[in-house]
Amino acid sequence: MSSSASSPSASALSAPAIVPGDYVFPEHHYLNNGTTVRSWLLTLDHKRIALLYMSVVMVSFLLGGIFAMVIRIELLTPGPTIIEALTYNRMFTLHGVVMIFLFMIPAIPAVFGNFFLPIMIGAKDVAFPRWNLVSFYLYFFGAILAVWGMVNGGTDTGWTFYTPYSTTTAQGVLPVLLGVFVIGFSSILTGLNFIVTIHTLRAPGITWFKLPLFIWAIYGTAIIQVLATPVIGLVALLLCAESAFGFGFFDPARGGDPVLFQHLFWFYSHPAVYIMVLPAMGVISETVAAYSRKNVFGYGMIAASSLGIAFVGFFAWGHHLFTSGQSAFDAGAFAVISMLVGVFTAIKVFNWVGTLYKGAIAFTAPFAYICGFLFFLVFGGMTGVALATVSLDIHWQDTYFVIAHFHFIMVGAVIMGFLAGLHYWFPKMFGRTYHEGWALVSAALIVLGFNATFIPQFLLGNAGMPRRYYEYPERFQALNVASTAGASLLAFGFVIIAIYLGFALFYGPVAGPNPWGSRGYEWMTPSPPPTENFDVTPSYVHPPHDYTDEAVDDPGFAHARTT
Amino acid sequence: MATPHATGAAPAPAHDTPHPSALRYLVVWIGLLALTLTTFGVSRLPMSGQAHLGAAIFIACVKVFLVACFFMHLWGSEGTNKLVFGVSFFFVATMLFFVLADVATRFTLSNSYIRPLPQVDQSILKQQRPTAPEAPAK
Amino acid sequence: MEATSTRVMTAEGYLSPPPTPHHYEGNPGAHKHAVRFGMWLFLATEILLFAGLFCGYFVFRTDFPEAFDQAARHLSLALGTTNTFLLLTSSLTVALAHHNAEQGLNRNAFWLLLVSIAMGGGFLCIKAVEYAEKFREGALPGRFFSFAEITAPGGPMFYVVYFFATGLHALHVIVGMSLLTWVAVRCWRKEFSPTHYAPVENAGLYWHLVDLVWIFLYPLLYLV
Repeated sequence: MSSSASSPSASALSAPAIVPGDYVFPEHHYLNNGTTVRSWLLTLDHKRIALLYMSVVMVSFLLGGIFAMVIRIELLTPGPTIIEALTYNRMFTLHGVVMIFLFMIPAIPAVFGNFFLPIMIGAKDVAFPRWNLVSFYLYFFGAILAVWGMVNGGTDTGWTFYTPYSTTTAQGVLPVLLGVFVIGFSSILTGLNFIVTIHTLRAPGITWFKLPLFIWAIYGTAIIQVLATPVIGLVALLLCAESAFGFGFFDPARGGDPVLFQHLFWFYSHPAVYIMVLPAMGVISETVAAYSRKNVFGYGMIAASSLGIAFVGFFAWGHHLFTSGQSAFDAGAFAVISMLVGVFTAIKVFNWVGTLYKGAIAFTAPFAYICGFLFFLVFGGMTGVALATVSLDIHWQDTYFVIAHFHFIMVGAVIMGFLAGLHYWFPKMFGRTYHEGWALVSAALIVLGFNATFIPQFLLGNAGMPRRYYEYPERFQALNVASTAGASLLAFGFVIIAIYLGFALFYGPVAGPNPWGSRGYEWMTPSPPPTENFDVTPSYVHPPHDYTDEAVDDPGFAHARTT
Repeated sequence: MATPHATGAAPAPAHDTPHPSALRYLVVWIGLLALTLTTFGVSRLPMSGQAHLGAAIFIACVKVFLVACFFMHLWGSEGTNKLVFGVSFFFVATMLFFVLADVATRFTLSNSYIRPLPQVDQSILKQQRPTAPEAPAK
Repeated sequence: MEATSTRVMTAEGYLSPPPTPHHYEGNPGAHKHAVRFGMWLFLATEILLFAGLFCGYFVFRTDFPEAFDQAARHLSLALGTTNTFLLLTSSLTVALAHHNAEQGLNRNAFWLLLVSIAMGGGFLCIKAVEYAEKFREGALPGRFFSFAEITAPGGPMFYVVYFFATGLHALHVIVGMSLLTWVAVRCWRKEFSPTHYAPVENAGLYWHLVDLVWIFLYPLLYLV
């Protein structure tokens, strides 16, 4: 790895945002290799499985978004607006479960990870293609079971299923818990597959420290998926048994311990948020290098901090229990460790900014999402460190402050990362480019809409409005109305994305192998890639994200045309 | 059992060249049975509850080590397998540590421990003045 | 799963190994490592699954030490120790079956696996006897508890942990027996050879894990 090129003062190459040229759509690629329904539903091709995941993930996002809009419309007035109280409780339960388990956990790893992991390491497929397909169907059927369970059973416990309410409520919890259990298995299999793939299928020339940074992020994510997910599986089983038989595991009247539930639940659910955020950070590492056309500043530190976040994230779960009756010793320990995670995140942010510094920036829609990501990650992360301070959390716990904090990370960071990846990799996945103008418009709407939605919520939470409340005092109405207005803007931005990307899928101009002139390894193959991923196996002479002069002229990066 | 193995055409993975004799499995098995008897015997010794727990867990760990190393072939296996096994136990230990630290250092009356009524000698009560204090509440 | 139709009986008396998958072509050693590594990762998930139950055990033991002590004395030590013996010995026979399959001695492996499965079945029978006794005594979890001989508070919590831990373990014993049965059938068909024995190894690893969990459960429930 050329050290001079990774310092911020190295000159970056300027290039147009999209490399012009008239390209011809490849004749044989993974999309037209078999056009029957059976060839899609029983595919073993990781790229097709990624698209299967993408369709269900997109539908889940739409569903979760609809529930969110219902919540926000209901909160327009202090009293009842469009739904009644029990329905409201069901809405935020549906929103939470669908968004977290059906969208956020699989989104980047199962879609972009599945699609690009083998290509980025020069492999033909993941380690266990059949288990990959099994993991998709587990996700699909688990999702149906969970949603049906919530709709049919009227689950109103919130996605956290806290005892004693979840074990004593008349509303059904069994099917949704079983659905979560099944989806958990899907997550485990995906993580397992990715770890084994990275260990055993790297092409000759791709050593550990020549792995693309997206792969490092996926690797950290996969470790968390494998180690943490079984615990939520056990928790789901315990809750089912409690709910059905009343054993008293979490019931103090029988000698059980409700805080034990929270310990076991958050042992998974806190690392789970790193399952969501780490892949987004990986996407940003890729796109920051591509759109500033500069070598990544501090490759080693970004790779190490991915593993660092994965590791430290396992020791921080007690910060969800600060006000639940946990001991002071544990509270103090968890508070300090939770702040440590901020150190690793800050390392990444400084490295990304160092990459941007003196880069030849092309302000495209993905770059707009990068800017949004950085801004929201920093502010969301700082409010996270603030919340980790126990004395402050006493006031903020279970208020809108916490909601705003995690939405800043989950929507502000993760979804910006998802959208950046979607736009960056759209030409590679589908062989066509989209309309940049509309993309910038929707990016602006999304960033502005996001701010308008969630900054008022910080203020609401600080002023004392509790979360999951159907009614609220009059004095909170103005901020709630502002938040709902912002949410509408946000939703509108997503609708525009759906339109121009859908259009580009069929009518967009042909992209060619490398429209961005990026030096990521995935651009060394045609767009869309052939089923076996490569027509000619690339030779990996240069590190990924390498924009030094020698690397730029590497013929492996296609200026090579497809006929 | 100790028959010479057929030469395979493909390169064999790390752990099965050369073939260990089947005798080693029998030896390990006898060791495991001996450890089981030991743990049973130790549980009969007069020790504090904590010591019993510690001894039992220690012997169980030795047995797990034997089964993992020899029956599950971790001893000659690739380093990544050993790492996976070790790391999973490390995180189990983490979970146990923090949860038990919580239960152990909490405000004690908030634990689910239901204190039984102290056993008062009824004859003493009868000798008290009529306005004897009430038995302490649970 | 493999295309057994393309495999032919070799001179040594076992089927020729299946071809290396296309994405591992030219690197069968990596494929073998991958299959074993994947199994160890799956075992890690099983370890983490049981972790929460051990957590619950220690929490309630800390809360109700006398009840746990009394309840442990009322468990049948003879049956528990017999179960331990059965699982340890079945681990031995599974390890020997793997040893034989590695050398292509499919018939030996078949009989050893059958012995292992039988021992697993014996384990389950003894467990059923123990459970029946609990039902008779009223030593049941939570609100079903009516066992008067446990006078200290917290008796129901011991049985919650007991039934959940041994129940989940028994479920894994059943799964393990199914895996061993499937592999035994393939042994009968002489599918394993010195270059292809991963299914025996992986089923064996799963069975050994079941044994590992019991090695911890036995002293914690029966002895201390």
